[in-house]
Amino acid sequence: MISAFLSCDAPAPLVTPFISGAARLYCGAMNHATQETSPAVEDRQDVRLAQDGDGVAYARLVHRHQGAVARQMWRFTRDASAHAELVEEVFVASYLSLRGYRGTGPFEHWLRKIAMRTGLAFWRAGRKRQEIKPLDESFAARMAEEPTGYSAGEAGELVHRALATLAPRDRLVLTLMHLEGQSVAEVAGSTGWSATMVKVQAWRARARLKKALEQIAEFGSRGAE
Amino acid sequence: MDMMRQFDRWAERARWEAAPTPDVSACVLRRLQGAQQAPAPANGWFVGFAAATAAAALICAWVGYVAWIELAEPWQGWLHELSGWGVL
Repeated sequence: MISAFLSCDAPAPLVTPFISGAARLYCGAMNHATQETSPAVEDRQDVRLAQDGDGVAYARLVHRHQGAVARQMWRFTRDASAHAELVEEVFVASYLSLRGYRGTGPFEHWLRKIAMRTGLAFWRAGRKRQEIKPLDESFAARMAEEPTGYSAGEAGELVHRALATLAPRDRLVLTLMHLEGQSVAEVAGSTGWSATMVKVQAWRARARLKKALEQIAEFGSRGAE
Repeated sequence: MDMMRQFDRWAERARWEAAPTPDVSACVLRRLQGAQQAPAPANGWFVGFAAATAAAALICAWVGYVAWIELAEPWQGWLHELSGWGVL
């Protein structure tokens, strides 16, 4: 009963004024405690300040989220200088569209979407510049080996090279699903596509990747003969 | 060999890769401050374009006026008579 009174969701008419006041104090204290510890609340406060032009608040946001954004952007490029530039680009783009952030969802999710769009644009620009290295025999030989003997970094390099042969949208859906470990619903949420479209895109991307990998494996086995 | 199965195994391993984490806060703030201090390129372009268009319109008007005067001069008397008849 007491816990019902103390619950923040207790209907006001059922609560006597005294207990209502105590409950409010309790809820206020709990909210204050979470305010001090929750990064989401800190994000919300800093976003509000940054929207009013507070650069220090935005610097705090950058500092808090740059690790996650760097991890995400590493899937888009393996070049260290391009990677740093991409991370920077994400935060510049997010600042420029910060007024559009309504605070309905976590700031981190919103930032991840911007990072994904920035990465996709980077891939599209790279494809226009013909920056894709073709897969060779050494790639096919490595792909056929057991991955357990290699580090995660080496595995990442190999997977990155394989995915680089695909069109940006195919590459994106496979990166999100296989490297980020996102579900269909999560990919749909971050890309804005429907779940059916994500499934179809992933299926087609896998078919294209399979064809490319089989071609290079066949080429490698012919070379070995 | 099923290449896609191999790909999935490599991708599973690559998922645990540690990415480099560059500190970009200072660079981001510098870029944002630079963007705020620089004059808006859209405004500069618009003012230049509007000024050039206005100058071109003035020159065209002047050339048109002079050409009309030159053209109408031989017909001045005829035009005057015509206006005297009340046709114009």
